[in-house]
Amino acid sequence: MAKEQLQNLTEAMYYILLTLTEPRHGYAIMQEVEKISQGSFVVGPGTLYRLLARFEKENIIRQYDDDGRRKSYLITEKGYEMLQAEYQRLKQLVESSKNTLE
Amino acid sequence: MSGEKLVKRYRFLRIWQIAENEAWFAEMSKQGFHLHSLGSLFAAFRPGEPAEYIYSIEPLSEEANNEERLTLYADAGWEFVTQMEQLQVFRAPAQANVKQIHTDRSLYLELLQERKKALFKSTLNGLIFGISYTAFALYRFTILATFLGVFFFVPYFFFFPNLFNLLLDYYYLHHYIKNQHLQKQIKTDYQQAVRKRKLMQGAVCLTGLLCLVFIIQIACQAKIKKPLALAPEYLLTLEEIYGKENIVVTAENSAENKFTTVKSLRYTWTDYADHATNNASYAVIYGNVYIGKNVRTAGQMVKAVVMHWKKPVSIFNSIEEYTHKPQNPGFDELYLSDNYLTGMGVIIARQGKYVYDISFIRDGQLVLDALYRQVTQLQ
Repeated sequence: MAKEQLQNLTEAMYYILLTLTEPRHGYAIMQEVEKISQGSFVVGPGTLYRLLARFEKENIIRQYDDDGRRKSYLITEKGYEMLQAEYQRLKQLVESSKNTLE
Repeated sequence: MSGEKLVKRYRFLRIWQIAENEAWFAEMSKQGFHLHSLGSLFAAFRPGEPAEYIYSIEPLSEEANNEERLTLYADAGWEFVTQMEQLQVFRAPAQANVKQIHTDRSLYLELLQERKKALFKSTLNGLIFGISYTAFALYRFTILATFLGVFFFVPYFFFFPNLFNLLLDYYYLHHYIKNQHLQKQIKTDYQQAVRKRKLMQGAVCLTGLLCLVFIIQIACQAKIKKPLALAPEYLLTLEEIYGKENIVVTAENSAENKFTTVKSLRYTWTDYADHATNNASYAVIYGNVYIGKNVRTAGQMVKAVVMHWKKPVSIFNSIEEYTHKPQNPGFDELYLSDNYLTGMGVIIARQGKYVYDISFIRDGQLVLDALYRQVTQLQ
């Protein structure tokens, strides 16, 4: 089930992976997501924690640093590819609707 | 502030009534009582300044706790309050514009479904145990055993509420998940939920009581055999049963030929007249001795025997169904009152066209064998 879901990234997943192109710990991710989405999207701590655990299990992100209380994560090669693929897919989506909608 | 005593409030709601509990804690905080800990029956609150908090119950057990997770929650503004069973309570100030813990519905539902699965397992275990125990109890225990065997039933009574609560929890969680699916605004009227719960608790107690009565009744009736068809055509006299040398007839009683002092095969019985004065334990009526713990129970036995000729009396059971009872030495039909285990009881036996009744004390088997010897000799 997890694999299936990870094939198409949800909005939350996409944003989180995007922020992890630089090493960040949990709360920093939440803040960054809010910042880059200009407040239009928020991730709650519960959701974030679950997603991080899942990403790590799927080897999409890896642990970067651990100071005991806060762990920071960084996207892996595999994760980066997924993010790229998703970006291309979304771009394609936007491109193809441009003619009709604009 | 920390020195202040905790205030305990009875928890009307089950913990899995997530939305209602959250509303309750928030309401209490508004009144200046902040949730401190949760017990199985009570919730402890710490008195303090009234403040507006949002509470959030996380369906996660203690195993899910780690520094990282709690730090993340704390960073996001959620303060850990307490842990109970499979749930954790967090709180955040209402004004602080703290983000919800779960912002992704499908992920949250996944989490809830996991909890539901675990809850289902334990409920199923409980259900299987409960049903097998009840089936066993109904099959093996008689009404007599229900009273005598309180010890066997005690675990059941302890167990029942737990099973019921498990079922309830499962229902509440199921309901909560359904609401989440439908994205329904969950009603968080705590007062209403409590009212409902009180009603339900009352109904449950009543239903439990009725069920118990019903089960006992069923257990009784299952054991009732059809009554002996005829009144006794012939009753053994005491002499015939115990032998003349064992019987002492006192002067005053012999005149009426009513009350007799009997020395039994093993035990000495005094006469009916004693009942009024001593703590005698039997009644003698026209040569039949009825033994009870006191006059009253003996009297009840007499009544039961008399009634037995007219209609079924629940205290009589067919011997065939009780392998642990005294063995039937060979009577065509044999009925024993349930009291035999306490050592005092009534036997009604049929051999051919004759019906015999006798009371016995302590050694039922001995009396039964003696009776059978006498009866076969007489016939």
